[in-house]
Amino acid sequence: MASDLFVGTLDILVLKAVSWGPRHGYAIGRWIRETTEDVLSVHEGVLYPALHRLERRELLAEEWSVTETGREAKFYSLTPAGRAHLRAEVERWRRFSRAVSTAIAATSA
Amino acid sequence: MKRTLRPSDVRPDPRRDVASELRFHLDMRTQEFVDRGMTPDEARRAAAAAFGDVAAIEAECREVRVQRERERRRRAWRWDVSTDVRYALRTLARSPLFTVAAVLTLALGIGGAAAVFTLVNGVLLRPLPYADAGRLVMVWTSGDGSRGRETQWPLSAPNYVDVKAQARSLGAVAAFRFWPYTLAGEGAAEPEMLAGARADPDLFRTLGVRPLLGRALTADDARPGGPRVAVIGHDLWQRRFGGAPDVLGRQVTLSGERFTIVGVMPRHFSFPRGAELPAGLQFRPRTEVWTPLVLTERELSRRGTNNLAAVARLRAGVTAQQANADLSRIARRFAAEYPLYFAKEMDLHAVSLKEQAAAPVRRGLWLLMGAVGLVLVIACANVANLLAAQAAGRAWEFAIRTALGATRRRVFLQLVTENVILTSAGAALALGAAWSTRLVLARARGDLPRADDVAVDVRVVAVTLAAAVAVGVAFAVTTLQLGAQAGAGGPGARATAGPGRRAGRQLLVAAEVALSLVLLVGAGLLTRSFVELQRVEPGFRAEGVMTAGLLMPIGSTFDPARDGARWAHFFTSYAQRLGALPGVAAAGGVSSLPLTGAVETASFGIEGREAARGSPGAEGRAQTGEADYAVVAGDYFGAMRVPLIAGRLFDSRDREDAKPVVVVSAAFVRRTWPGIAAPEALGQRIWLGSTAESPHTIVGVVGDVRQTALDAAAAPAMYMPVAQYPYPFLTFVVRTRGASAAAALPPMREALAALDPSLALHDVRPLRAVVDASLARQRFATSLSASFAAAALVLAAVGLYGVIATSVAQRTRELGVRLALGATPRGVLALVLRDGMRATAAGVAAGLVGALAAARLLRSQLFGVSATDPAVYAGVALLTAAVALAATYVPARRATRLDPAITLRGE
Repeated sequence: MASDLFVGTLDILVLKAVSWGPRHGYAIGRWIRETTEDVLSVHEGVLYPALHRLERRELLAEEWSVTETGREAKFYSLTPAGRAHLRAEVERWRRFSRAVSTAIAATSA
Repeated sequence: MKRTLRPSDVRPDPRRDVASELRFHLDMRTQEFVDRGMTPDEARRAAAAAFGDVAAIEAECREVRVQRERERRRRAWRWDVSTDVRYALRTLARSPLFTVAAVLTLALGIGGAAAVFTLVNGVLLRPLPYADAGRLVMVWTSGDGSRGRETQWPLSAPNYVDVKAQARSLGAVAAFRFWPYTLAGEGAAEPEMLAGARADPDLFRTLGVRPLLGRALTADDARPGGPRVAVIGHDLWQRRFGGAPDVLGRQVTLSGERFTIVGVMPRHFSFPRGAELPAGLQFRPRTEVWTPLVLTERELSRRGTNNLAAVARLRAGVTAQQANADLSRIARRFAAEYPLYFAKEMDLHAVSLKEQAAAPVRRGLWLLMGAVGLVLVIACANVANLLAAQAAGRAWEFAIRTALGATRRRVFLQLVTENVILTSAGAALALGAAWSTRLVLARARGDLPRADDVAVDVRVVAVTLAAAVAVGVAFAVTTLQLGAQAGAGGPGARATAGPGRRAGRQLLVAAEVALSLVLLVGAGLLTRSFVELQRVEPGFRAEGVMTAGLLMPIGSTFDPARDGARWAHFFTSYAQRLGALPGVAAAGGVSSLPLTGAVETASFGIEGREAARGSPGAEGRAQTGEADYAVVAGDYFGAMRVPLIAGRLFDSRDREDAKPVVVVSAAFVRRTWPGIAAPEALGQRIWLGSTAESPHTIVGVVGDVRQTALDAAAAPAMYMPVAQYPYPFLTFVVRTRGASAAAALPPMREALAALDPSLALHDVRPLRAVVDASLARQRFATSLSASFAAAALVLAAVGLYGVIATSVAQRTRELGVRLALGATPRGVLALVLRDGMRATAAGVAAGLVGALAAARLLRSQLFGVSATDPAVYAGVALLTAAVALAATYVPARRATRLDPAITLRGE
């Protein structure tokens, strides 16, 4: 991802993407693309290792199911631990961005 | 959403999983591009480009999933185990009596086995505590001695030097000999006698040990006229020098001479250790001080004086056989070049150091291991019976668990967990017992070779735990079998246990009885043998005699020619003083006290005997044989009450310058002049050894004395007076007039102090204690086997009691019916008794047969008792039957008290 300063950006976006309900990997990727207006665009493949790692950490739960179009796909949903982690990470991001914004807005050295 | 069940739900397949997931993504992305107007091919390429390196991503995802699977499996396994353990502990806690009984029984069985295995491990299995100990050997001379073929004679100094130079198969050779030193008292510390060794400086290099402090001995130290240096042991350093680091360079007085301490050996190093070497060499259990072995010209010229033990290291790649062949080659050269000192039938050979230590006790230790193994089997049989009784009650539990979906594997693992917890608890207690073996050994007198090497090490713990796990699994298997059989019927289906199962338990009990009978017979035979040993006449009277050793200060310049007269005079004066004390009946001294392992032998020749065919003689003399010899002072024979058979004992006529005399034993006369009466041997003359001395005249014949051990026949013996045969060290024996032996000690010490206050008595003990100590090994074996046999009998009795009691409890209904139908209580008692006695009878019969077979293994340990002694077998059989009857009777009587009304109604 673009920023190295804040680690875990992708994780936050993924967790947020599934916070409204189970989604499959393609849908998650598409949501990220559309919502961030392609500002954060990257090789989409990077998404999948992130998804699997989140699942391994039991922040996401996986389930094979059928899409509206009738295809089989793996859906990811948020576990309670994942929800708590998302809350914590959002708070951390807010603190970080506040700090950076404050530093940028400073008028004197 | 509809849920499809995929094969990977049952068994995860990371490869297929990830592949389909990524394929879905690419398909959807492609569709997106197609919807935007691209051709399918363009769309596919764009999708792939947007995605990135598919193969790499796929591999990465797969890796994550594989690790995930592993973590999940591990977690599940841990959860299973913790559940099993919690459940097992709960189950065991529910029946505390059973749990305690089982754990204690197992602790008894495994504890005994672990303790003995600790011994076996330390003495037989562990490598010796020296570098690459497998390549260390002792070099011995073998030949025909006074007791038949001897295979562990020491080397003579010139022979040693030649072997060292000529043996191509040996990389390093170092000779050593026992040398007692009197460490002078300093300040508050008393003088004490130290067990020392005069050793070739190569000893340390040969063994591969480095000193803890300072240096070891070097070749320079062994030059004649070199500095007097000594290396001391760790214990001595702590004991006498407080473990102070400034001990190096300190000067000490050893046997009247000043020595400088140049090194301290590490803890636990005490080579040579007497228990591992032939007793005749007189090494103490641990050596504490090492001084250089300086071979004087005179010593290097005496090819017939064998007094050096030698340890050697095999060269790399050389086998024991090659070394023996090499040594035999050298021996043949000796026989050719020095026929007078090295007879044709003599040989040189090497024995591995480990074998040297292990051989005398190997048989006994493995027998002990076998005995304690039997106890373990009996203990396990008892616990198996206990579990079987429990299994019947738990059949229902297993059936429910299986119905609720537990696989057979999970139920089995649950049982394994329970049983392994039981056996491990027993094993933990057992290891405590094994650890205490060290404490027991510490009290023993170092008779056991390698006693210092015995410890509860990794191997002992590992073997014990492995045995515990194996036994636990075996129990689980049997419980599952029994549970499965009984579960079929559900509760109450059978009022009485099926005949098959009952027969199984009776068979188990019969086996226990048989095994304990085998152990009892063994213990009985050993006990009888021990009693017979104690009845042996040693040739002297042990009661009321005190013994103490007295060492002349000889230092490193041992010169009998110069100092011999002084020593003789001192010993004679001391003996006279002792004899004159009130309360002393007789007193004397001897160079080798019987039954202490001390024995010296010499060859002798008979005047007038023609040389035997072919063997070289000199001026009509010939080596006729080997005999024990000893130097005596004062009234030794009187103090020991050794009978005088003919002639006279030594007296004041036998001075240094008088005619050389000798007193011989009856066996000497029998062996040398078969058929003649003792008085006819008087006046005969014999030569001692092979030096050109004048012959000794036999002036007396005394009774035989068992010199080496009570179960070894008395060998021919020659006694010389100390005035004519200088000797620096005597053990004094003082017989009190009616009082106890201990009463003699203070006067003995006072008399010595009056003559020379710088000397001290050492190894002070009553003669009775000496005789008892000579039987220490047999006593140990007997008491140990008796306790094992007793434990086995108790376990078997408990097992029998348990089986009968359970049987009665299970048969209450049947017995109630019988009583109701008119059977007398006596009849019911007889019925139950018959069951128990049937198993006992079978066990006794099988046990007697087994004991007859096993007793053959004991034959080498028995004395005066045959392995098929009928009294022992009959006695043991009766004892076992009696105990079994008692064990059966108690629960059987309960059967007679049953009230049919209650039993029939209840259930």
